[in-house]
Amino acid sequence: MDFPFMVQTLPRLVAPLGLTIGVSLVSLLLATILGVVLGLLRVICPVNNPLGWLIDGYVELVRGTPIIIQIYAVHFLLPPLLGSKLPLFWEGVCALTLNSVGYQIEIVRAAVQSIPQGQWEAARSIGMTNRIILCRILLPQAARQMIPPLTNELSNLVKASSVLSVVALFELHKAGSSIASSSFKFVEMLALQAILYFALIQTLSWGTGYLEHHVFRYGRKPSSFGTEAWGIRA
Amino acid sequence: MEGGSPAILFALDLAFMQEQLPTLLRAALVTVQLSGLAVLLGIVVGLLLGSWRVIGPAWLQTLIQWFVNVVRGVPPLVHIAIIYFALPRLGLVLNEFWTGVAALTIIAAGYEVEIVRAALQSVEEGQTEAAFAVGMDRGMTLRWILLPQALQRMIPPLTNELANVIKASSLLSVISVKELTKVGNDLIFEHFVVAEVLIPVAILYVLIVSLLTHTSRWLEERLGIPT
Amino acid sequence: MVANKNREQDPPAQKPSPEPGLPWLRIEHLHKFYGSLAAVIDVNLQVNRGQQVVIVGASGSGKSTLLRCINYLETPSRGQIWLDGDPIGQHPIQTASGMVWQADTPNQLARKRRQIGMVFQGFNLFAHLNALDNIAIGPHRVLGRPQAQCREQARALLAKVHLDRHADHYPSQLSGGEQQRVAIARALAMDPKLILFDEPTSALDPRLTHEVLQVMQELAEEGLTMVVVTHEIHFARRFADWVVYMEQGQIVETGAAGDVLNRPQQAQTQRFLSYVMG
Repeated sequence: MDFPFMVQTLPRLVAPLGLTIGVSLVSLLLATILGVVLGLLRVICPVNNPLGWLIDGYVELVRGTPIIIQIYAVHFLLPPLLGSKLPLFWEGVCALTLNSVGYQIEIVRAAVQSIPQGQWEAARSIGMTNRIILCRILLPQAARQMIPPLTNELSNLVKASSVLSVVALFELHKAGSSIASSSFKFVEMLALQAILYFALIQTLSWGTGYLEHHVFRYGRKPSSFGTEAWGIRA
Repeated sequence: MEGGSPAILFALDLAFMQEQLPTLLRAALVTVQLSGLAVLLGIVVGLLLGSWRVIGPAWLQTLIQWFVNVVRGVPPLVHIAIIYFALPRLGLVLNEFWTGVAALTIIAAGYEVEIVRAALQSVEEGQTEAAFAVGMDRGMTLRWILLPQALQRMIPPLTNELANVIKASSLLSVISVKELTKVGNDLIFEHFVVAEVLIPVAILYVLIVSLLTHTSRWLEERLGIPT
Repeated sequence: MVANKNREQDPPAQKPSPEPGLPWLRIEHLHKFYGSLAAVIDVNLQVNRGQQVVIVGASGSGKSTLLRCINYLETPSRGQIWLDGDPIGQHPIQTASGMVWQADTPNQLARKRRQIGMVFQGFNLFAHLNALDNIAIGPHRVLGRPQAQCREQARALLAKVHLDRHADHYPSQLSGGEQQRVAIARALAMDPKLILFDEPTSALDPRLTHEVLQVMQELAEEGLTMVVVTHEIHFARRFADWVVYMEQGQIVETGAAGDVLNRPQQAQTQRFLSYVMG
């Protein structure tokens, strides 16, 4: 392994690393907003309502297909639909957001449904309206349940963003690969990428622990077992 | 592709789709084979490492946790590239299919160790204490008390993992494994059609994944401990 | 039977002068600390073969911790335990500088635990096994006896705890009292030299409590050596040969059941008894 080469190349990976973080963060933000809205809609949706079917169908589709197919779909099908080509960054945001929403609807739904029925009843008994119950009782408690899966979601998006390399978005993996193929230092570049991703994701996972133990300490602890917060996102 | 119209989404070339369906089905079979092998091998590795992670000596537990953190802390695509470049350097020359299986197995194992560990640790502390009290050592406790109870709890997350591995197998297209995504991708670039390929490919993935999910629910009910 | 050759290997420094007619279970200078918190302080206790000893005390007095130290589910911080002359949790080894004590390996500990049964407050039946196999698994898997023979024995033990008709029920299908009786049978199946009961009835309502205590009483009459932590003072008076009162990790008073429970000598014991007896 050519360590001096790795150190020399490091600065050239700073901008791509920033792009990786940027595309993941923006997607998480957009997907969280959409996910909360659609997730709540799904919860309050009556049984056998077409809106419910639509949301379920979307979740099923996103979770049933690989992200690479979703990226191809956005890349090839969005320009004809819009009539013009999006910048690659926003194409990436689009693909990751569409993907993440599918997972976050489930996160929100599980979080809201995990709040005991007694909370609804207690809130109604003191005369709260549905809107107040939602904003003042349910969401604050659901947030406690949602924070760990959401921060994990950011890690998942960082990993998923590497797949954007297939449409030539110059994020960390693409940058690493292109430097590798011009310098023939494949192993070095892969090691470097692995280290950078690993450092980024470990930092995020410590952040999750910090949030969980120091910021959102109220309420019931979410049960992490069986959730797919740490699934392979691909 | 520029300057097109939404019409391409609705005016699908059905004859082309019908013509290519057998090709895609064959590719889907490769996807299932790849993922099935990787998950089976991954479960073996996962059970072994997951068990050691719970009852092994401290140094081994730390080592296994590092393996897990590294596998989960690096994107699957990077792992695949690493395996692709590293195996030949280690003198192990495999064809694309087995390189793919190797890469997917390592990725799957990394996640499955955590599933096994979580399931084992979710068995109440009292069960271990009772096993110790009848004189079982750690190995016996694991084999006769913890694993039988944990196995049932592993089924839902493991199925999830199988679904994830199936999706992850799509990434093997970048190292030219002839699975569903690669074959679909080739069709797109050969014939300059998009929706006609992406729609059946997506449907096939959804079908495979939901078939598995339903099988797992059925299994879970069959293997249930009465409550 | 009682004089055991292991005794002679005890290092002279730690060994108190051996007295004739050694006690079956001997606890010496047992301490258990959790960080700076002392849960058990300098407990010395002897139990003779066939004796029933009841440990009473308020919650947090260290009585359960003491019990769990006896079979090393909790590792004592200091002190020694002998059962039938066999040191539990550690063994003497010969080194160049003389005899020293070494902690048992997990496997050695597992072998020694086979002689000590334990019945837990929360029953802790194996959730994936029916009543019969809960009892049979110990002799079968630990002692390596054939399964048919173990099940036969388990059936007999189920009859002994009056549960012959519940052999194929899973723990979740049994009441608390039934679960606890299966747990007692599970402990008996290993033919232990001693059974520890950790508040066996505190998770049960009075009716179920009665059926468990009934079984314990019958076992006592057969001469089984038992150490019981319980809150049931009335039961203790009937059942125990010997009563130990603990407070804040220390033994305050010990003596024959009638003496300690009817005529306590220590002010602390009097206060506790007047409190629990109403």
